[in-house]
Amino acid sequence: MSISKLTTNGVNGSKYNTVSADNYYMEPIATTLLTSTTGTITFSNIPQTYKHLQLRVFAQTNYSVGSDFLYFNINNDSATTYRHHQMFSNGSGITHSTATDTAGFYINRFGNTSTGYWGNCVVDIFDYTNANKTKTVRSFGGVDWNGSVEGAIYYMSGLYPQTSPITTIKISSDSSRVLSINSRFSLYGLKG
Amino acid sequence: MAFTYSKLAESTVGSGGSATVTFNNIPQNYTDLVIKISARAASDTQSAPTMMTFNGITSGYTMRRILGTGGGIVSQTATQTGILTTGSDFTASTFGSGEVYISNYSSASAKSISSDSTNENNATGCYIVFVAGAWSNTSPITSITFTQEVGNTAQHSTFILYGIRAEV
Repeated sequence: MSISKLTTNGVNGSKYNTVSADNYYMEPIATTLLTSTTGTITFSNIPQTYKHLQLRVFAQTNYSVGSDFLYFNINNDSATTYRHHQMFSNGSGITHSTATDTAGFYINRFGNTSTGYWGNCVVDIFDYTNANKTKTVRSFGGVDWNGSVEGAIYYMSGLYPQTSPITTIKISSDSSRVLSINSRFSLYGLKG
Repeated sequence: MAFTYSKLAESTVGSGGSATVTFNNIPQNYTDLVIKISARAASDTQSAPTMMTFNGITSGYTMRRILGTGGGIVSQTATQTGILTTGSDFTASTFGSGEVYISNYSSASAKSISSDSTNENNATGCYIVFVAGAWSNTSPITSITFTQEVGNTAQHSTFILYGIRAEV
């Protein structure tokens, strides 16, 4: 349950000031903060009681070449072909492109251990329980790379062309890489 | 009790679609408004622009936008504001995702609007747009109406209105 209201004793002793913690909109469902490296993190048994979901990611992998994508997989489905579209800029232009993959759709780019850079993004998953809709997400974020074109800003749209409600979300690095310690994945439920 | 971020209203389009989706009698005791939208056009195709009007007034809107089309990215201006929804010729049962932010909606000055949206399609063609919009009218916003440029908004489209209150 989220905090619904905080009060603090005012500096004058007799006055109670309301703190801006009132929140009847968004509740934390689960957070994974990595204490050891791993290739995959999974949110399973996602409550079906919210209208939308939001995933906030702060991550890095051990990809030695440069910045790295993560896969966003739904309901452990690796038989369906996912699609994403992206608008991105790496400081030397701006591009709109698309790709498909059965492992999931990409979400953003993240940093790597050799440089110490981290990436972040916020992923919105609308109407995740609605059986009349294929599942789409939008994600905004990226990583800076101290002037290198490995740094990039991304706005991504992902499509899982199935109408089944989302009960499991799996985030994974490419098969040969792992997520770094202190990578954080926080899943929130948004009330409708 | 003050609510920092609260749902004010929700609309789900029913069978047959709807020509308009409207939030009326918007409370005036929040600072900003947010609208989260998952929508599809019933008959319009491709980018399927969804226009947004306030208080039933159809004039005074301008916007600048960055639009990615799958074939390139352009910067444009227009005398309207809104988002994109998924065109009826795009992948079946697939809905666009968008979010609109309206600052100082109850003030007696011109209104500032920003939005981002994308309409998905299981093909190369797909639109992504960022909008910075304005409404020159100084009336407080008491109603918001969404209409497709062509035809109805499709069944199962959802619009949720939230209010954000700043602590002053």
